[in-house]
Amino acid sequence: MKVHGANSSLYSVRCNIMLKKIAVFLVFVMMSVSNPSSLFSQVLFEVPDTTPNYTGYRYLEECAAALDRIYKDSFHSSKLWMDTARINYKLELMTAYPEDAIKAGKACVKNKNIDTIQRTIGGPIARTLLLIGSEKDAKQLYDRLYEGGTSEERVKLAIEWMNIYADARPMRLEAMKTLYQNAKLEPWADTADGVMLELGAILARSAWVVGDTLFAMSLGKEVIERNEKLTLDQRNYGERAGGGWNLDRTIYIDRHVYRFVYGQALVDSLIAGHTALRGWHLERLKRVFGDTIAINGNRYWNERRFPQLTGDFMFKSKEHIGADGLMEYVAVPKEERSPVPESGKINMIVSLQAGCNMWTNNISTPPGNDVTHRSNKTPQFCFETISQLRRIKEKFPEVDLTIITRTYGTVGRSAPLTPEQEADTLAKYFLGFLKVPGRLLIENTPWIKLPGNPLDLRRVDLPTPNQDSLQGFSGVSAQHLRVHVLDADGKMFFDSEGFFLRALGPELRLEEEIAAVLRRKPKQGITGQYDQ
Amino acid sequence: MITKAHSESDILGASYDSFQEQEDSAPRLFDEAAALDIIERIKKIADTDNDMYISVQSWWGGAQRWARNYATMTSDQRNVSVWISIKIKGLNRALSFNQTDDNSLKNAVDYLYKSSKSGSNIPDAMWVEKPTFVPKGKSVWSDATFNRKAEENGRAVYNLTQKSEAEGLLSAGFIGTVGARILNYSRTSYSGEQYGSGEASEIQCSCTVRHPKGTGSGWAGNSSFDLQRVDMARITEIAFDKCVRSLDPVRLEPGRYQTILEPQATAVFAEQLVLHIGNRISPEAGYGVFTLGGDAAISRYRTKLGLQVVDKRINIYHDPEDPISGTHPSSGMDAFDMIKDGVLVNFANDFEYSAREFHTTDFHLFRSSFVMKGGSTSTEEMISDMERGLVVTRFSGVEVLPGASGLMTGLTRDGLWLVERGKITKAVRNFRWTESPFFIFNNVEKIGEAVPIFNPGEWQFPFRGAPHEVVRTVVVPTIKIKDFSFTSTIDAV
Repeated sequence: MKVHGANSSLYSVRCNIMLKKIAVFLVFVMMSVSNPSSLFSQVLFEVPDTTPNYTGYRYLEECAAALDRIYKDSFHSSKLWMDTARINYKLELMTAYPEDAIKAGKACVKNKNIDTIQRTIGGPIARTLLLIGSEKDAKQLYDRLYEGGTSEERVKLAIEWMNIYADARPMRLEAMKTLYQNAKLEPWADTADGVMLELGAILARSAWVVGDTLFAMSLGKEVIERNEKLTLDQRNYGERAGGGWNLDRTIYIDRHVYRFVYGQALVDSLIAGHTALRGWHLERLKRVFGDTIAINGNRYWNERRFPQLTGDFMFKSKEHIGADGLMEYVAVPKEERSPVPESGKINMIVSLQAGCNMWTNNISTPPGNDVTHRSNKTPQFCFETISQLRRIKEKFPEVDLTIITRTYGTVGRSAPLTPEQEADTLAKYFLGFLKVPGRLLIENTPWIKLPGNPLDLRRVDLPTPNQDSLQGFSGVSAQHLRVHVLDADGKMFFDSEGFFLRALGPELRLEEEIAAVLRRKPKQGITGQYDQ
Repeated sequence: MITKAHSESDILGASYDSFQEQEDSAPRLFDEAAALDIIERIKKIADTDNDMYISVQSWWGGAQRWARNYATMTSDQRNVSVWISIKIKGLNRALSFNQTDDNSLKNAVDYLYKSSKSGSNIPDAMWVEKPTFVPKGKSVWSDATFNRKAEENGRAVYNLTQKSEAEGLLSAGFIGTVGARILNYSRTSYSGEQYGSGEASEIQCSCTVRHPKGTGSGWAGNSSFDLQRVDMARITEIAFDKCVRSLDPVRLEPGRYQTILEPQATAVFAEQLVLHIGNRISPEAGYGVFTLGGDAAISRYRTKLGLQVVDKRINIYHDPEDPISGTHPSSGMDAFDMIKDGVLVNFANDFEYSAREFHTTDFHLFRSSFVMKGGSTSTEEMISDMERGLVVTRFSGVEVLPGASGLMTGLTRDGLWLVERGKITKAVRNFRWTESPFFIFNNVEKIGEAVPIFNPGEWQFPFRGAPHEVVRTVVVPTIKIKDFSFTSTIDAV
């Protein structure tokens, strides 16, 4: 078997036969999930394909699956795509996508619709609703769900879309069941760990498409209810949404991969519980979309003015690399700082509240989690993202790029640091090492000792001014980075949550959005004032 | 069928000459001067101001194994391990090997530099080093253990197999001795230059005696850093006694019985508690047995710190200076209370967690040696006032069940007896049980004197390890529990 660009040691002779079976089957299932009538995908990984024609793929999932392979293979390639080094949690250097893979990926993604790809356009609607149709349709659907019509109309619309999704679900579950059954026949115990992970990764991806209830069931009823309550609470209090879901999604994928053997029973139970869960979803939609007050409390935020941000420390890149190989930067005194966002310019504000230099610590947060907690930092994604920022800035030099972040008391694996030490370290990291071509605005995070238990010495970070300003406007997530593109009037034009490199689509999208906002003429001119 | 044991000449004859030759040709362990010489040579070869760690470990192990009255293995092993880590381009590059000549050391250092050709220079500030933990001074060490000869182990086994053969029983077991010595060197921008050394020795002896027809089985064992504390004659005596007394067991209905757990059985539950205490991340991340619940107001999971989790009489702690626990003040570990008067008072975590979550550099590492105390009732006394119940020697096949209850399941083994009206009356067929340490330790009627149990450490020296990790000394009592859940009978003896 020859997989696209595969030269990895994973595909050893020993694993070949098994992988072939699994890969062919998985792809079949995955494609069946995305489009039951699509059968060509059955031979996707069977054909010796050293020069993949990405434009031949019809669905994003196919691109994603192919790119995922390349991504893995590139670990073993000495060809560096980025000028920054990717480092895994073991401090081992890793390479990234090769340049040609990037080009191919872009070609692959371009002009594809988003069939069955789970997209979060924002807002509190949980991942239960799969948007089916074009991106434009999805946006319109979102607007209609959140902005227009009466509550009855919104509920009707939501139920309509839920039914479309739910009708196809039994078929997807059956496909999953077959997948598990087949997988079980393979000699798991004797194969390399890599095979398991490989399968896990692919499965996780296809499981994404299978979707919400699988995830919910794997966590148990208690968690479903907890998340449900969290979602509603967040809506009612106008808080940002999604934190809890993101957290549990991570747990879900972990469990899914590592407890693969239980999957069959899980899917069986999902099939058995389909009707009940469908009813449960519909009830939930009625509650969520029937609540006018909640809807109004969390509107789609495009075209709203972005708040003025503050910071205790500001550093600026000199865009010149010094003798030590690091980009030079300079601390900007308070009196010399220009406002963020800067009036009259196209601003791109990247929120890296967690700092992407932190280390995964597997700390989860309880219901009601806020942005003060740092968790699940994955440096490699950040490195990729920063490289994207550099590319975007190179393409659109007129865009004013600012990274906002905050202190947490430590950086990476450091000893406790003072805010000054930490700010300096962060500047060295983002501007110096990662060579961010812009500004870095750092807030000092106030904190207290965990109250109520003198034996428990944990530090609890308190909200910062920026966090308060952005609350209810657009999530400043500790777990995700977030990109805001503002027009020259300081209004939000586009924002994107999460690591936006995945499958390359979002970067392309971001470029398109920036190009669009550059075409837009400012209404208030360069003297425009920002109101809140 | 009983396999005929080795003759005395087989065990104690010429085969030990080769061991003696080995003893004469090289010492069992490097001394500190030899290790220091290696470190200095590496420093000279590397010739760098970068952060650097070097660990030179010397290890010796002698073992005697027997089964079915037949000595199956005698060994005397020794090895040296050199571990080098140099921070190059901001990353720690590490290599371990066991050759100590100049050429090998140079190759190792060259390899580290060659392997770091790719990649950017990461600012040191990003990876500020934690304070290096370097074991210092003499730790868990006994000359008697270290000087134990293979021939002496052989003689002990010979005597034992002769006895079991004479009585028509089968015996099996293992005697193992380990000695290890480390010299660590560390130079970091954070902590400066440090040297630390440590020594550890351990002896373990365990013996199973079974009836050839499989109708009875007895076990005993002990381990310690000190040979003097492991009475091999007594161990074999107990194993024989238990085997004979457990012959032809009767079948009892599964159910809840008042139960006396001998220390080896108690330790299974105590160790679970200690393992959970050793991992602060779990309860603070909302899972595990010590998590209390999510506190939405502060966005944290509350833990059971400060709450009573077991019977008020129970204390679990690690004290390097405690003479019973057998660890030493200089083992590099500090005194650490885990459960005090039944109250959970501490968790263990590493430096990074302390720095990040507590904003402090104080931290307690997990330690596997511990003492559990809480009473002084003798086992005889516990039996004498028992109306009807069971006495458990030990468990096997123990598994921890998922969930926050700490529930475990396993099998009784090598001696289970019925007590009726204050006396042991019958041997009982083994049970499967399902219990939680929290149920056990909250239903304690009486607690005995804490004694060291069989709980050997790593047979191989842990990678970059410290001596306190080699020897795990667990000191726990016999406990009498109001009821214990035996869930099914099993046929295994």
